Parts: sequence; structure tokens; C-alpha cells
Amino acid sequence: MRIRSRSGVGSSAKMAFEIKQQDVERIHRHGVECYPSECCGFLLGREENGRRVVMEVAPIQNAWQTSEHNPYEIRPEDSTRNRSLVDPKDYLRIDREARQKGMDIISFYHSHPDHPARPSEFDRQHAVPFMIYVILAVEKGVPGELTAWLLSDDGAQFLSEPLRIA
Amino acid sequence: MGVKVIIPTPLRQYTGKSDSVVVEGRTVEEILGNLMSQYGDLRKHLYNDKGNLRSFVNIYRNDEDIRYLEREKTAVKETDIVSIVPSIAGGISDKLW
Repeated sequence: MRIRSRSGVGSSAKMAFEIKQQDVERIHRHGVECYPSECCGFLLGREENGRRVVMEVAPIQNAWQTSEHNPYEIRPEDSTRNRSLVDPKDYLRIDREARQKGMDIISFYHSHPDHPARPSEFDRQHAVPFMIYVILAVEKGVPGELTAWLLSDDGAQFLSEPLRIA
Repeated sequence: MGVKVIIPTPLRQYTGKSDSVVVEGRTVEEILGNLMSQYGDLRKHLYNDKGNLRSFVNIYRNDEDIRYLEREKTAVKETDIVSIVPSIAGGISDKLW
């Protein structure tokens, strides 16, 4: 089992976030498939013995340009190459499926094409509480660093979460 | 009359970690109002300073977005399920943490 810790702008002392290597590879494949657009999806799992354990990867379509409702500022230069959006219908469907299987949506993942796997100001401004944000860097179509983050209680910054890959 | 309201993961810390609660009401407006009465901490996450539902909050009656029905005046039956669905997005910008 490898344990990676990222210092970021702050470190969380909260519970570890565990993910299997095969699920990391699933996220990698999604990032490569969608490149140069951002990929996005959810990680389903449970809290067990003080750890958040990922049990399933749920890739979804990036709906930045297709969702019926996009509440975010849309600049002329914005597209799926620099933005990812969850269609609420996908959230609804995946949340239902997760609860039927005794799991929860515990994380939202998205990729940063040709950018580091660190949260952006856009990520911070629009983050929801309690959700682990997993970011994958995809450089020239090659998957790179995978990091996990949790919004601080005051919303001012992201705190890095220890990411354990089993 | 009690209607099941699904609470999304990010907001369950305000409902005692429950993923669903049963709330009285015949319209979405009544149901959300009673939900706020029971769980006051939810208010700032669902409503803006003007008392309007935030644009980042999606409310569904079963599989229908209430924006395309009668919005908060949408009628709800006891067998319906009301779901609170957060807007979730990510992206790249010039400033990185």
C-alpha cells in the first residue's frame, strides 16, 4: 500500500481517502479518453473505520456545453477544455444507484488538461462542502499526478487530503 | 402528509447525516420551508440573501426539474420524492492553489 501526502496550501488532519489501483487506472483512462477536454465523474464508496473508501468509479459526460441549466459564469473562452459540469440528472441517477448499493457519492473527480493537479480558483469558488475533490493532471494526453482535496470549513482554501492507493 | 426529501452528500452533515428526511407539505415551497424549520443550517446553502433558491441548487420532483414545472409552487403528492441536487463543476483558471 502506498501512501502519498500532498502539502498544497494546507493539510487536512481528517480521515484518509483510499482508492484501489484499478480505480485510479479507470480515472486515468477517462482522462485520456476526454483529453484535451476535462473529464469528470464521481467516486462512490463508504466511510469505514475512520477512512473514506472508494468502491466504484462513475464516469459521466462533461455537460459544460450541453446541460439545460448552467449557473456558472460562461466566458467566450470557456469550453469543456477548461470547464467541467455535472448535469444534475446525472447526479440524481448516480446518487440513487449509489444508495441502492449501500454507498454514497464521496468524491467528485475531474481532470486538468495540461495543468497541474491542484485546485484552481474556479474549483475553490464553486466547491461544495464535505465532498472530496480528486484532480487528475493530464499532460499532452498522458495521465499524471492524482490528488485529493477538501474545502476548508470557512471555504477560504482547499486542504490536501492524504490519498492512499491500495 | 409526509414527503420524502433526498439530501445530497454535501448537506447531510446538517441533517444528522441522514440521506433522506420526511417533511410535510403540498408544494415544494411548503416542503422546503418545513425542511428549513427542522434543519436551520440548510438555509444558507439553499437560499440567497434575498430569500430565493440559489441558482446552484437544483430541486427535482421525481425526475423533473421544478424550473420546468411550477418552480416552488410545484404541487407534490405523498408518493413523490423531492431531491435536492447540488450543482457541481470544476475547471482550470489562471490562479492555482
